[in-house]
Amino acid sequence: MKILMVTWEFPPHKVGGVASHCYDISRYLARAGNEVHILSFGNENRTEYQDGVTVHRVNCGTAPDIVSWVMVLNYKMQKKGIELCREEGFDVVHAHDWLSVPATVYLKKSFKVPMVLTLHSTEYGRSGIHSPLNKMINDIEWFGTYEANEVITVGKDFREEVKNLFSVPEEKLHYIPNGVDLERFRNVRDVRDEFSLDWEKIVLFVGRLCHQKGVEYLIEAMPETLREHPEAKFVIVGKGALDHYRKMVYRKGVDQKVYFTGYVSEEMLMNLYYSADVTVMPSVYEPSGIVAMESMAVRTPVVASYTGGLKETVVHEWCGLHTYPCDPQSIKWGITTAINDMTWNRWLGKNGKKRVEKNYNWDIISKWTYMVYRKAVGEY
Amino acid sequence: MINHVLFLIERYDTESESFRYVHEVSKYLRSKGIESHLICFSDKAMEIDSGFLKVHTVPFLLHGDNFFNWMMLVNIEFVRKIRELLEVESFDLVNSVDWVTIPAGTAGAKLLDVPLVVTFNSIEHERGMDKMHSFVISDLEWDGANEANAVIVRKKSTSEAIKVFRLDPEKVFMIQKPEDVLKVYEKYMKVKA
Repeated sequence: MKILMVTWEFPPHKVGGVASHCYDISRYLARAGNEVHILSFGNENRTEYQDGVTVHRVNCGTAPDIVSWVMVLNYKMQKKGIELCREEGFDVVHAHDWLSVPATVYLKKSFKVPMVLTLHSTEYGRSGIHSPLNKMINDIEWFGTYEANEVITVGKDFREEVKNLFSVPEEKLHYIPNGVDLERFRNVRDVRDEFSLDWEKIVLFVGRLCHQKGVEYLIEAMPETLREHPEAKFVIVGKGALDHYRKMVYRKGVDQKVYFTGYVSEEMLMNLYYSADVTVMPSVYEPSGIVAMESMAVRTPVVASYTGGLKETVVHEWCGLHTYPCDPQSIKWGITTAINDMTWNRWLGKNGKKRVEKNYNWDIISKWTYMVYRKAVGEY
Repeated sequence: MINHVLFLIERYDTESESFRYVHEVSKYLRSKGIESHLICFSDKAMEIDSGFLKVHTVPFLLHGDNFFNWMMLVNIEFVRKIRELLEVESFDLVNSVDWVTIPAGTAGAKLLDVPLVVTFNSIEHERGMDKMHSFVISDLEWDGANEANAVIVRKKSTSEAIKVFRLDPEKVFMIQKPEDVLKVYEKYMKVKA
């Protein structure tokens, strides 16, 4: 099958999890014998080849706001996409999130080619609908679900959210989880020495530093956690409102026990997952929760909010612990319980790895995605 | 040989400068045996045949957070309509009017593999470049003008302002009379042939 995937981010351009998702799914689809093309943003207009996938990049200047920038980028992607569709003749076009909906709908309408849309999150869940900008993004998401022949959601709960929010017919909605490429963890090494003292236990947070990820609730939980477990060392990985959260940590008087790394390389991130004693995900909203899967892939148990995709990714007291969202007391309980008994901690980690190997591998996920494509083109 | 021309303007407003341009040109084209179609936005879907111009209006349900973003989305509906018309019509040339129709104009011309003519009633440089979206609109105008086989401007000030785009002067025409518009069309049909 010839597939054109349209995504605003593709490695090395990475902002959220969409880039990694598209990188993995495209490689695995190509390995299975499909011809996969990616249409994405880049610093210059060019075509490159990555692991059997052809990547077409279009450059885009600046704009006064995010939606306008997305509109201009989509105009450029639409132009390139028309050229590609004429030359290549794709069987299916696949958009990821609202940021690539306009260009993909253009291609669908211009060439009458079936469209698949994967939603990784919604504006309603990320920020709520409080401003004309939020409303516009929400409208584009609705427009995408309306125009798409098939809609994929990355979480089971999230599937219901999308169904109810955009009134998507049941028969065109599919739940396909995110996955983990276990090959990426093959050469992991212990980097504990670089982030903590030898007697400390690493409590790892990975994600954008913003309200959605619940960073403030984790910080609220730090003083009490440290009273019970002075050996805890919080390592916070990610970009975002760094200064805001640094100040918050300082005000709580726990700055000596918190290490903000900012952005780290992919290799270092894998090493950190491996070296941590527990990964904490205090998210307020999390449709999928790829961080939990990556942590479990290297046998590190996860303390995660009982919300969205984390409800199904993490099995309570089997490969991690669930906590109440927005509840520092509950987060403290989760962290302390996970590091109290390291034998149990290792048992949770072992179960987590098994769970990832069985349920969240890209081989299976790419097959499920292929079945959705087949349904879209009417072969199913 | 031109038989069918497709015009694109922002909205169905018979008083607007863009509509009057299409009205005049299509009336003249009819006298030469050429059929004209117009796609534009309206809050209702309508098919209006004035005898020399077939108007196809397309509604769009979403309300944008600003005019630029909204217009970019409306262009998707324009393309849908072009695709729908292609089932029963064929077009020899697309004439896009102002930046508001450039995304659908460039897409339509590529899709149909026909020449694109872009008409500017005015450009953002002339209007002052003082709005929030002036730069992205100007970029779009530049892109549309570069993609076009011919650019028509309708007044002296626009023909001066458009020099900022550094276009090939041979493809820019300052035209007021409909008969000269047809000459431009014919010139580019010959180039294509």
